[in-house]
Amino acid sequence: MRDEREIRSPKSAIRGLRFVFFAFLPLAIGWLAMEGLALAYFSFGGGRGQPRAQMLFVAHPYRIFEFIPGRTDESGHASHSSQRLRGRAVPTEKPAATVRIVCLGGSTTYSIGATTDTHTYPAHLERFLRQHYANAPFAIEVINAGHPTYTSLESLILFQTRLLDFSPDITILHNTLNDSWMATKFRTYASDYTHGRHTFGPLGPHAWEYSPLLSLLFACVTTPFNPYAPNRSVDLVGMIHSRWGDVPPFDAKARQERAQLAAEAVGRNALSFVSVARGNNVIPVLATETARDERSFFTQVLTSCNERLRTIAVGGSVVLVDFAREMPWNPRSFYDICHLRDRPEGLERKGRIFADALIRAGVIDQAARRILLR
Amino acid sequence: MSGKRTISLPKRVAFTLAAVALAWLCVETGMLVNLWLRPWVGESDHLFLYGPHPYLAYAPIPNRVGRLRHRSFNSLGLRGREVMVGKPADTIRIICLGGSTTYSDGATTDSTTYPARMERLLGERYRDAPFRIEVINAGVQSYNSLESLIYFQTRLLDLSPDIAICHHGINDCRFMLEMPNFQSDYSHARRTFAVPPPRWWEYSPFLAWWFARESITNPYYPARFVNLNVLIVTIPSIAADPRKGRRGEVEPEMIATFERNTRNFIYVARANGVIPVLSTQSNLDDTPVGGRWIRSIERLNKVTRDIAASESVGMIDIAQLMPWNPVDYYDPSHLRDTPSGLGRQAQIFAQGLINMRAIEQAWERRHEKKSEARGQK
Repeated sequence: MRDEREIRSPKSAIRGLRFVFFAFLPLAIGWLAMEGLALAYFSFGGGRGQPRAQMLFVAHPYRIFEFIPGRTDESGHASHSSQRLRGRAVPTEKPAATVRIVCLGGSTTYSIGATTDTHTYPAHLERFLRQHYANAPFAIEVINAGHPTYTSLESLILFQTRLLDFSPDITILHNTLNDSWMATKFRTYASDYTHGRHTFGPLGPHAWEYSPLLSLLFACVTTPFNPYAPNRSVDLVGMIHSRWGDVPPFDAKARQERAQLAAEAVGRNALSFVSVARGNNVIPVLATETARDERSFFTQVLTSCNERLRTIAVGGSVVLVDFAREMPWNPRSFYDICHLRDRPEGLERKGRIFADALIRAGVIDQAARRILLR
Repeated sequence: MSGKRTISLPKRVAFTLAAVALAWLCVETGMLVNLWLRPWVGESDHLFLYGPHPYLAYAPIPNRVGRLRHRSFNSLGLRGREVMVGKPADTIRIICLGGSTTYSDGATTDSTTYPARMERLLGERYRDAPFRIEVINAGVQSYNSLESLIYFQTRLLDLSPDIAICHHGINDCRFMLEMPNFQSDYSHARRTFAVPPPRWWEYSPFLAWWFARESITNPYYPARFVNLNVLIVTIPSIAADPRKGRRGEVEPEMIATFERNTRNFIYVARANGVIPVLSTQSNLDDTPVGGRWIRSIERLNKVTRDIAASESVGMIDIAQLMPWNPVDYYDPSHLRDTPSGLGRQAQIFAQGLINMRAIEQAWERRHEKKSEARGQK
């Protein structure tokens, strides 16, 4: 029986196989040990912690992304309601005798500088209007529908697809900054912004990111969805843009052309916004945007876009809040190129400017008359 | 020292495993070499023709020609021949918006779709007119009223159309009837175009070939026939088998969503100087099996008719003029590539535009605009 188990084979072949086997085995064991150590490192508080800022957003088929309901950002400054909007939840069905105002826009409407949800410009606007109409037979409600990075196109789609469900009476479109970024930060340009924007992603980690060791070794190139070391340098902008960055300087003619294209796109979206609003018995309001005047290409494009909004407002008899003229950039109010500080001369002043403009134009009274007549 | 050698059991196991692993590696390498020498040509038309889009969930990829049938997208991602973005001065441009019934799924060539046929018919009718007529097929398979609205306002307005025909109902109805947890922005049903990632074992060329050839997730031997809806809806299993979907009638809030999208199309069109035209849709009468579909489609068609009346918009009632019949339709909603199928649809649409004098109206508007421009100068 013992003889049957004996195998006659060339010594060299066996030696070769042994080599292969015993070379790989320690490697595998070593690798596993290192994986275990890396996992222990992450388990005991290594890495960059939770929660991840990127987890505030989720992909949307028609607007790239939207807020995940019920989430609060890491700083605790901003929270998103069950209706996927910043601030407190409001009932979809509008209460009786209420003038509902919806503020559309990007980060300047979302009020990225506000330290609480009650210090955003729409929240200040609501407070000022309520003070002014304290004795009126109607209530006032302002909804902050601003989404960081949203352009006039995304705001228009948000308005058409979701915000009309809230039966607003007045809607303010406050978008030209992000549209101007889209025109200046890319070599090419398409009026539907597909030259720079892509679908929200990546939506999950790469296969190799499930390895704690590789995640530790290559922490600088992980996705924001890495389970151990989420990449925090990839912000929302990095999740929705391709080829973002400075482009080679354009000559004067190319700058002029690009500024005109951007203004046309903003104008087209604003015109669609006005017509959809009016068709749905909503009073449209347009608002220009302010940025630091750097005599740059960006300033040139922003000026063209703001000018187009003014033209549409005049031509279409639309109420305009000319924020760019009413509150030019100054270092006390703004903490960067376009975002306001959370202080009286910052976001609060913006709320006051918008409230005064709406009161002056008589749109609140107009909306109230419509409601009370109904 | 007999030359024979005894090998212990652990060693035997180790050598056997090593041999199996080596053999496996050889097979995997062989499969890869085979793939490299004879590439798999089975990629689905849908995987090849469509890609993700940030605002439309998915969109045709420009300059692609389908492999299974003669269908092609031009440089703007529109079915058919090339179109100039800038409209020639003497051209009346008509854009046909819709889903697969406008795209003309049954057409065997790009020149036999309903928009292409309509262009020929209108060209003949207005051959002595001082303008030429150009009809653009902006139908995209599975698009609903919301997607067509977004498509229209983001991309098609750049083509300066004079007339836009909105031909929707069936795809909206699918989202309403089949998909649960209705949302008015259709996010309950639509997701961004994505091919599911391969299962971990599918990265092995051998296992992928042996167990999952022609699976949608297979990275080496992808499926030849993929239902586009599986790639673009939130619950692919319902797209593959609608019997797994919601059972119930269309609710009022769903109807309101369709109405809102259709009205918004009219408002955007008018604001941009485009004459909007609406159209109903025909579908198989499924009364013998409950009639849920035909009831729902009829409700949406009624909404279309009511909007056309209240907004004073031209309407082509194809549901009444060309009801479903087994000779002209090859499935519940798609027409055959025959004179009595897509040919008749084109005839009805052309006659509808002629009857409502939309072409003449568009030409008059053009003159008014020119006069205004001259006056301003």
